[in-house]
Amino acid sequence: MSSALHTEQLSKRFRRVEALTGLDLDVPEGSIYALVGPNGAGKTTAIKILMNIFPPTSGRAEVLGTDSRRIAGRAFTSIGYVSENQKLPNWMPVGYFLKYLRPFYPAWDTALENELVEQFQLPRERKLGHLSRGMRMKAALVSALAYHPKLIVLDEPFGGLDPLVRDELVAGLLDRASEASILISSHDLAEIENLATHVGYLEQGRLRFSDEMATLMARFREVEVTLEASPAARDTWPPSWIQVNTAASVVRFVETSFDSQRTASAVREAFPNLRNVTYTPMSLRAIFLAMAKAGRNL
Amino acid sequence: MTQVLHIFRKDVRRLWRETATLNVLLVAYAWETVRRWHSEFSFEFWSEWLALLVPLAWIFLILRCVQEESLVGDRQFWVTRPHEWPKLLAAKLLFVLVFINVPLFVIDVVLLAKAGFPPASYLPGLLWLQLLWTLFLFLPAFALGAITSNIGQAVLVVIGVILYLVLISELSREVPQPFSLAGDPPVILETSLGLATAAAVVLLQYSRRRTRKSRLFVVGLAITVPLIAAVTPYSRLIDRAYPPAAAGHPPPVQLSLGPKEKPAPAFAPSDSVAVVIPLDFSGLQENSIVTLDGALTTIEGPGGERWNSHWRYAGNYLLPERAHTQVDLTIDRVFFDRVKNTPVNVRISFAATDLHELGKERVVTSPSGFAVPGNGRCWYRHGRRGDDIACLFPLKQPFATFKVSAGEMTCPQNPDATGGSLPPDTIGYGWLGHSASQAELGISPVATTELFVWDWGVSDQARTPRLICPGTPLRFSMLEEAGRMRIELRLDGIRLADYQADEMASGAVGAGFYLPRP
Repeated sequence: MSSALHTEQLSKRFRRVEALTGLDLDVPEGSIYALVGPNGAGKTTAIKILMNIFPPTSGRAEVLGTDSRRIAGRAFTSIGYVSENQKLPNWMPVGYFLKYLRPFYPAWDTALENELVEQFQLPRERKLGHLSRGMRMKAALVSALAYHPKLIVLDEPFGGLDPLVRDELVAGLLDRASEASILISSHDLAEIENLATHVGYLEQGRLRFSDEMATLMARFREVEVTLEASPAARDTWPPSWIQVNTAASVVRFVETSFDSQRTASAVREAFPNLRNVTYTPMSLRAIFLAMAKAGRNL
Repeated sequence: MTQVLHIFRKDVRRLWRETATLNVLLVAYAWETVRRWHSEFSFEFWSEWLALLVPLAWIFLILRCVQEESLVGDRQFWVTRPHEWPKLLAAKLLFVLVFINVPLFVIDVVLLAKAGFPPASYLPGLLWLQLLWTLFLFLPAFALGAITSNIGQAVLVVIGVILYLVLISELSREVPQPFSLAGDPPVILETSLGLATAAAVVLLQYSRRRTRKSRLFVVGLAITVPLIAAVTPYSRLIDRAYPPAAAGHPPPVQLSLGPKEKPAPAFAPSDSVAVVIPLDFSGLQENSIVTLDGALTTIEGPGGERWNSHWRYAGNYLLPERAHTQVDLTIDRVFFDRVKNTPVNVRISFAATDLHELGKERVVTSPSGFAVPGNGRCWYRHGRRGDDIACLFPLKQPFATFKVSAGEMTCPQNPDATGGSLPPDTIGYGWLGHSASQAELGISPVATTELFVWDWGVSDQARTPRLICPGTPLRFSMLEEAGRMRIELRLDGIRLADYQADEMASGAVGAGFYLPRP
């Protein structure tokens, strides 16, 4: 599968701060890629380099097959970019904002624009500066979807929005997902869990892992082992086990490479006196918390 | 072109209030200018400030227009939209052309026509004015807008520039400056560097949006300009511009020490003393006027102590009907106190320009108006002192002088400051301005002046303007530069204390700034 976005050893330094370090990222065409990580992880920096808002310090990036440093002008007719902290022309009424943008895009679909405006219940006559944060994001999203972009890049689009608005935005986005590749950054894992097909975890400027969502969810299990008696103390565990905790005769850990047979075999080998074992699927949030606490790369 | 017009139309919609305000100011300025041609010349707050408000409004409008799609920062929405940056620049330039250059041109045409000068005859001058404004105001304002994200930032930069100029001005006191820089290589170099930097900043921002680099260009310019001034060999430049008189070619005027007389009080900084040395001059041709542009004074005391003034502005006019002038020196107080009562040797090098009178024309003033050389039109208007003569010239005043004979003055009374009358053969001189440029930089292309005699060749107290009444003949002469040279004067064994001027009373000296020509 070819990539809508591809980076190689992408780095960005702001004076003494290393914001991004050697990022290797692939966003497959047609995917919804969630770039997640805590605040300050480097998500926005990565996206701004991809959008050629500023250049990388080193490394390279390709956006729809074009070097990110050449992304300008017409290249943006295929890219829809929305960011939570984008400065919109607040003096423009919604209707004029969309009308102003229309001639810039040969593929602008007025019917789709109308449909989205209606779907999001946007007041065309109201100035962008007089809209609530959620409504402004909706207006921005309409302006980024109405020309059928091949790539949609959303930087923290749901931050601070109430659940209802968030669901409306997600619904609007999913309706368009079939015709575009989507890169969405967020520090809120719950909001992208049901949206993304792929996920990458960025922390302190480094990509800790990048995987398909289904694969990731299948790989992680919370394992609870009940023993006949308290286990003997030991220092080493299989490398794929993290956060191993023992409480009396119960041992809990997170398996990061779950395979029903292989994991069961490893458990039996580690705990010969086991009485019972349970494998519980984990939420994305639980996976990242476990990862963050363990300080591990996968 | 479609995108250019599209962005332009958006800016028109966005900035209609600003453009409307500017046009109101411009029309008010034009109306006020025409009104003042026919009213007494006096300081009128509103009128003076209009001439300042219009350029400020231009700057504001350019900043607003450029910052509408700010080139600074990483959050503006348009950066990730299909704006083609050269077209964005073209749209902004179109806006400046349509809402600043064109209205200025229209107002200039109207003012010329109102003044009775056919605009079509002065098209090159009008275009020259447009070029001057564009290069020296619009381009820097555009560059300022390109490296700032909002008006507040731009104002801070302007304040920074003002502080920088004050600092440079203070520093320049330590660096000997020539008396005149116009047309000199360092000024041309500094001006070219300034314009090139502004253009480079605009092009860099609209091609690659590299704000940090653009700002570094500006900082580099701020560092380079004083360096150029510091390393410029001014003495050598003055030597070249005003070469010593060649052997066998005596200077057009001979200078010598004049009779001692009590000088008028003069201003000098606290660490200096004002000294006024009277000079006699002779040998001036009838059709020649010599201006002393600058002076370099060296004083040598009996013990070998030396003091050097560096080149300073002089500003003396040596006229054919006159025989006396004076040179004003501001001497270091410590040096003066050391040598003031002992004979010292003074050597003064004057940088002089020889002007020849051409195309003499006799004009008799008339209450119904009269034409003067340089395509000027003059008339009487009522003033506080009586009826003044106001004159209008297209684009600029001619480089000219006029003479009036006291015996031909038609006013019934013509007393000097002492209450007496001037001898009938006294010749009075008046001057019209001079600009080497095709047009004087101003919002209005109509140069205005009042005709009055400012030099009757008598004591300073009698230099107050006398009214030129209708029917008085004036003899105009156009002036042409015939050459520049050095004139040397040696004054051996003079006592400086004999020429010390009283210090001007505190409060008698003020500071002011000049507004653009109304």
